[in-house]
This record gives sequence, C-alpha cells and structure tokens, in this order.
Amino acid sequence: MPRYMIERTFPDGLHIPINNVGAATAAQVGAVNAGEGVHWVHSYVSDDKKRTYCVYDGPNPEAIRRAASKNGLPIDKMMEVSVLTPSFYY
Amino acid sequence: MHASLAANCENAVLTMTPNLLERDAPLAELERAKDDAVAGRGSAVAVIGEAGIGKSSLLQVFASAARDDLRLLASGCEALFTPRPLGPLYDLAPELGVDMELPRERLFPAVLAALRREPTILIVEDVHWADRATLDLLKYLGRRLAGAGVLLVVSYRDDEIAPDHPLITLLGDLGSALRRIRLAALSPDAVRELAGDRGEGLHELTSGNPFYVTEVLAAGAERVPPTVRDAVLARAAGLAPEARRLIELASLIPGRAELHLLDASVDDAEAAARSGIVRIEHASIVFRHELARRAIEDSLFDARRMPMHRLILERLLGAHEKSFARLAHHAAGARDAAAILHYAPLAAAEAAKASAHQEAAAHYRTALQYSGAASEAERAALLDALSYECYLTDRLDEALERRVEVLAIWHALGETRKEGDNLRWQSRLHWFLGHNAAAHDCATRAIAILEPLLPSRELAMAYSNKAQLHMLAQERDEAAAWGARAIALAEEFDDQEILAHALNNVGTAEDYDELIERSLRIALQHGYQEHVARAYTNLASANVRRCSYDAAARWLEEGIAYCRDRDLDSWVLYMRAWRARLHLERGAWDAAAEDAEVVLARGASSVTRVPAAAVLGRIRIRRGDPGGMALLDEARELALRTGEFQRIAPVASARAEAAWLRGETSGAAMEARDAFAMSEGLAEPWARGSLAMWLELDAPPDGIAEPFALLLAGRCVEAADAFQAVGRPYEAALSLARADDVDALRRAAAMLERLGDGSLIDVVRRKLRALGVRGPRETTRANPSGLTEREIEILRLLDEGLRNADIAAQLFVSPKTVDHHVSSILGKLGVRSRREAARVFRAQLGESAAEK
Repeated sequence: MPRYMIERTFPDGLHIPINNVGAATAAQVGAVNAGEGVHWVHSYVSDDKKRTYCVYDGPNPEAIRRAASKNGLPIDKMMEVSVLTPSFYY
Repeated sequence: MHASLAANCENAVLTMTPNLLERDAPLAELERAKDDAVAGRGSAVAVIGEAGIGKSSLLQVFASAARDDLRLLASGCEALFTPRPLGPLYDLAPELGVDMELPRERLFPAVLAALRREPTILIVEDVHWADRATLDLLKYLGRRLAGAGVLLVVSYRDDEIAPDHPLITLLGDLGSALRRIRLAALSPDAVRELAGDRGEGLHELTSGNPFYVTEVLAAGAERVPPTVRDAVLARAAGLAPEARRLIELASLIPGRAELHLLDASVDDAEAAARSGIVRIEHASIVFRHELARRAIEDSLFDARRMPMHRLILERLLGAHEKSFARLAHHAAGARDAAAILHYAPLAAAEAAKASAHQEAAAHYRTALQYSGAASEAERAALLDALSYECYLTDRLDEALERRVEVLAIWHALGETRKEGDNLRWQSRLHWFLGHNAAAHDCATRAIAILEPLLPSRELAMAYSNKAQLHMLAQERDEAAAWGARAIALAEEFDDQEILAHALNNVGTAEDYDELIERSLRIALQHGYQEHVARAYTNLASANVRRCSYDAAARWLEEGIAYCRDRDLDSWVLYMRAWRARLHLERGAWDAAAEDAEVVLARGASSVTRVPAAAVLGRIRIRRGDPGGMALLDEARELALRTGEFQRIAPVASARAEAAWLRGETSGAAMEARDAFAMSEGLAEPWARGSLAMWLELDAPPDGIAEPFALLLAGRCVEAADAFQAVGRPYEAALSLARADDVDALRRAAAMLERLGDGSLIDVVRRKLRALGVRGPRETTRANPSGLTEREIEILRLLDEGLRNADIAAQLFVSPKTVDHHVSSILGKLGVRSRREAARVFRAQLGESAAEK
C-alpha cells in the first residue's frame, strides 16, 4: 500500500489533550479512517501546533481525502513518499 | 440434476451423516449466515477447496440441520463436456414455480421473487463447472440478497480454475458481497482419529484430504494405494460383476444417472450402493464423489466407452430427453457424427438463447470436429454461427479466422449475398481488433459485392456498418450519406434492428439527438439490449461534448439504471466513465473521482479506462495530489492506440494542463498540438477549444466554442462569465487566473478554493502577492459579515446546539480558542448571545441559498 505525507495547517493550533477526551478523539479518527481503508501511522507537529506532517498508508489519494474530510481535517499538500534512513548505508 | 440434499437425508442408504472432523468453524459461519437470512438479512457464501476436501459433506450436514428452520433448495453443476445452460435452475424450476420459457430479463427477476417468498437456503454446488448463464444468474441473485431472507451458498474447487475462467469474473463482480469459507486439509491428529492404527504415513500420503483418507480406509488393502484413483478402483474391485457393470455405465453420466437409463433394477442399484461408492436418490444413481466417478470412467477403455455412450444416447432418446446438452454429450462420447451434427447445433442454440455463449461456441466446435460428412453449406453455417459466438465472448481473433475460412466456401458455392455479409462481418471484427484500414477495406468490398444484387437486408447492414465506421472516425458527411441508404433499405424491409443501428450511427455522426432517440425507442420496444445501451451512451456523450450537462445527466441516469437492472456491466462502467467527465466539467470533483475510481478498479476495457484515467489524473493534478501523471501516461498510451479523436482529445488536453501548471508553457503546447491538428474540420468546438487554449497562438483559431475564443482573445473576464454560464467553474476560474487585475484574481482564488484546487490557486496567490495584495483569506470577503471560514464552521456547530467544549474536541482546538472565536463572531454579527448569532447565521444562509 502506498505511503503518503500530508501537510496540514491549523490556524488555531492542533489541540488533542492527553486524557480520555483525546483518546476518544484519536479512536474516532481511527474508526473513520478504517472505513476508507486508510491508516494513520503517526504525525510530526510543529512547536506552535499550527502545522502537522502526517504519515498515512492508504490505497490512493482519494481515500486519504475522503477520510480527512469525514474527520474534518484540512489538507494543504499531499505527496507519495518512501522511507529512507541512514542505516540503509551502514 | 444432482442431488436434492434435502432428499439425501431421508434416504435409507444415507441416514449416516458424514463424520465431520475439524469443521466446527466453517459450520458455525454457515449457521450465522443462515440465522441472518432467517432475520431477513440475506447474503451469499462460497465454500471453497480442492476436490475431496469435504465441501459436499459439510453442506450436507449444514443442510440437514438447517432445513427445520427454512426452505432448502439444492442443486449442482455437472461435468458435461459442455454444461447445459441454466442446468441447476432447470432442476429447481418445478419447486420454485418459475417458467423456464421466460426470456432472461424476466426469468431472473422471477427466480428472485420466488426465492424471496419465504426464508430460503439455495445451495448450488460445483460452480466451477457452471455454464455462463448460471454464473450470470448467481451474480444477479448475489447482488440482490441484502434485504431478502435468502442465503445463497455455492461451492467450487479453487485449484481447478484458470485465471481466465468465467467464475473468476463472477467472484470479482460480487466482491465483498460474497463471504468465502475455505476448507483446510485435515490435521495429522484428525487423520489418526479416522484411521486408528492404520494411520501410519497416511497423512503425508493423502495431504489430509478427507475423501482420499476414507477411500484408502474403505479399500481395506494391505498396502496404501498410491493415488485416490487407485483407492477408488481397489474399492470397486470388490464388487459383484452386476453391480460393477452398473457403476461403470453410471460413471459415463455426469451428475445423476437415472435408473431407467441404466436399465437397472432397484435391487442391483442397492447392491451397488452398499459398496459406498454410489448412493441412490430420486430413482437415480449418484456417485458419492465426483472423484470416484472420474476414477471409474477413466478406467474404461475408449473401445468400451463408445458403445456404452451409444446405449445411453438411445435410451435418452427413448425417454424423450429434453436437454440437448445431454444428448450432445453422449453423441460425442459415442463418436456418432450424424447424432453430433444433429444435437450439438441444437444444444448450441439452446445455450445461446440463455446467453451462455461460451458453451454455445464449444458445441459448435464439437459439431465442426465431426463435420467431415457434412455438406459445405452445413459446414459454412456452423462456422458462421461459431464466429458469432466467438465475437460475443470476446474471442475476436478466432471470430475473424472463422469468417475468413467461411468466405472461401460461400465464394465457391456462388452464395454471393452471404459472401457480402461475411465481408461486412470481417469489417466489424477488424475494427474491434484495431485494424482500421482493413475494416474500411472490407466494408467497401461488402457493398461492392451486394449492390449489384437485388436489394437485401444484408446490403442494408453493410451500409449501416459503413456509416458506423465513418461515424467513429468523425467523418460526418460520409456517415450521413451511407446511413441514409441503410435507413431507406431497412424501412423497405421493415427490419427494426438494422433501423435502430443505422439511426444511431447517423444521429451520432450528425449530432442530431432526435435520430438517436428514435433508435432508442425502437430498441427499447423490441428489447435489443445492446442497441439500447449504445443509444443511451451516444445520447449522453453527445450532450457532454456540447456541454448540455442537464440533458447528459438525465440520459446517463436512465442508461445506467437500464444496464444495471440487466447486469450489462461493461456498459454501466462505460457510462460511469462518461459521468465522471460530466461531474469533472461541472466542478463536482468528489463525485467525478468516485466514478473514475470505480471504473479503474474494475479493470474495464481500454475504451472505458481512457476517459476515467483522464478524469482522475486531472483531478489529482488540480488538487496537487500524487499519482496524476501516472494515470495520464496510461491514458495516453491507450488512447493513441485507438487512433480516435474522441479518446485522444481529453487526454491531450489534461496533459497540456498538467504541463502548464508545472510552468512549462511550451511543453503544454507540445502536448496539445497533435490532437488539435486532428480536430481540423471536425464539428467539435468544445474539444477543439480545450486543446487550442494551450497552444501559444496569436489569435483564436476557427471552429472553437465562444468562451475559449474569448479567452484566447485575452478577454479573460468575459470568458469567465461565459464559462460560468455553461456551468464549467474550473475553466471560469482559469480564465480569471489569466487576468492581471486584483478583483479578477481574487474571484479566481475564491472559486478555486470552493472547487478544492491545490495547484492553480498557488499561481493565483503568487500573482496577487506580486500585485502587492496581502490580507484576509479570500473566502472572508465572500461572507457579508466578514466571518472567517473557521468562524462559520463554529457557528454551524453552535447552531447544532453544541457546547464550547464539544466544539473544541470536534475541531481539534482548545476550549479557550473556541471562546475567542465565539466572542469574535458575536462582535462581527453585532449580537449579544450565542442563540442570536445562530439565528442571524441561519437568516444569512437562507439568503445565500435563495441566490442560487
């Protein structure tokens, strides 16, 4: 399955608290994703919480967009990516 | 014809239910599906596994328990050389009370209605042997069970189906609507439990195949037989001569061997049944397993088999057998050329009538094999018929080969009219195979041969074929002229089918919908399904091409519904590809992507893939999503192969747009140039315009639609309004994006944001910044109260009665942020309370809805 990197902007900052509310939110996002065959691997969040870089696995860009739209998440840019680590060259 | 399972269980010989080991999980899954069906949630289940793995035994146990809860109908497919079309349905028809004489489009709904009358389990075994019509029926039913109290269970051997087996298509078409239960081999423990102290090495030898294990055990031989076949034969070796002869004769009759065909007494039959190799039901002998039947059949020498087949054939005829497939099977087994030549074509016609065209072709091939003594005319008729069935089943190379073969015969016989008709057929086949020059050549020769004769239907069809070729090449005048001759002749002969064909060709070529609509009415009235589908498609595509989107949408809706009801899947996909383009041009990108995705996922033909790939590729590029160029590369390759402007133009335009968005203006011109040259002289103003816009031209060329001409003349705002008026918002935004004034660019940005664009909008924003514009996001201006997008979102949630904390969780922001937004909203709207804000907001919504 292809992997995608998705850039999002949250003008008000992304706020998912580390508690039950946050856990429920994350679970809800996961359930919606599953309905589209999409899997949220993890995200990198900027210090001011206004920008995120999310790594997703999914069948195609359309499925990623449908999941984002059902979750109410914005998409600025999406690209298909592959993994590269320094250990490849050791 | 095989086994009503319900009856099995009442049979004295069979009261022993099979001893099932390690089948609890599959059985439980079947039970659940059954309970769902009783509760009105029907479904389809497939039980899958190699021969002898225990599919039938499992179903037998399941059925005997389930029949207390609901009606049980069971049938199966037979290993005839060529299966009887709808064979399983013939077995069930009396119980279901459906009339097998009904035409297919009424027969299938009648079967569904009969099944739905009460909670029912329908079991169809061995569908790897099913004919095409049975597979179509299963697909039809499988897709319509969700709300019915019907459980459909099929079984098949997955190790015996090649990738081009029609069953593969059925499985793909049903997709997740079909639950699959795969039966695993027995574990070493289970084999030991069955075999006791004789279990040494048995699991390795049999790979845990339950049938093999039981045969080995039943044979009781000292040494373990090396194959299943040896095990079966060892068991049969112990039979008395009478019983053995009976079993041998029965082995030549796949499925169920009626006792009257075997001329056997019930006593003899029961003696045979005591061996355990066969059982008796409905006054027939049925092998306990197909593997056993094949083992016995294969053990007979050819010289013995032939007279036995002849005997069976004679008895079948004496008993007024109705199934031509069965008669043809035994005629072939007896190598009785006269009987084959008589029954195989009848069986073929029976198969073709049920739309089992692969089976029909197989019968014709058998007949041809034995046609040595037949006259040349008979052979030619068989070849013609075979070619037609090959054409219907997409074996175009063979179809053409057979036509070429038969042409020489007609010529030698001086059958000039048939010679002409043959060439017309060759022309059609050449076109399908992409040999356009040969197609035109044969079309012309057909007419040259037929014209000197008296006027005929064949000549009418030759004219219509010629018209169609010109129509596809978009040679309008030629298409109209040949089509007019076809129509005149068809009317003279009152041949409605040729008339429907010709009207469609002329109407499409001349862009004259009324003619296509007439073709549609005729086709609907006479049930010519292919002509109906072609008429809907051509009406829809003509309207898309001239941007009459409402009309196009109506034709597509009707056409898709018609084809869906009849499972004409390739037409449904083709029309969905056109609908994808319709949605794209109207700016409904999500809907367009959904249609295109389905088309591409279903692996449709290239004529269907091209428009879908062009649409989805374009959407990805406009959104800035990955994977767009890969689709446009595929589309380009497939489109160029067809050589037809209508396939090539949208792809070229999409590729030009992609290059332009990358900033490569001369690359864009290069992508569009060849296709634009093709459009010279065609009445295709919109397609021509969509190509011309990427060329670096000084002045608008002739023959392009008004909005494109305005754009190329540099009148960007007028062009935008003109595009907006026909309903093409992206081109409107694109026109504004080419302007150099702030207002136009701001409008463009707002429109693009609504469309979901992520590429062109960057160009627009860069231009705005270059003009010194910084400021609020574009949508803010669009809102009369100056609310931001986020504020509107929050208002919407306020209106739903959500508290700030809930809103925060839903929007992934902190509650404090929501507080800030709410006070900003109250300020901008000049109200004091949240409730008042919601009220004002709703009033505004009403206004903007009214504007639309």
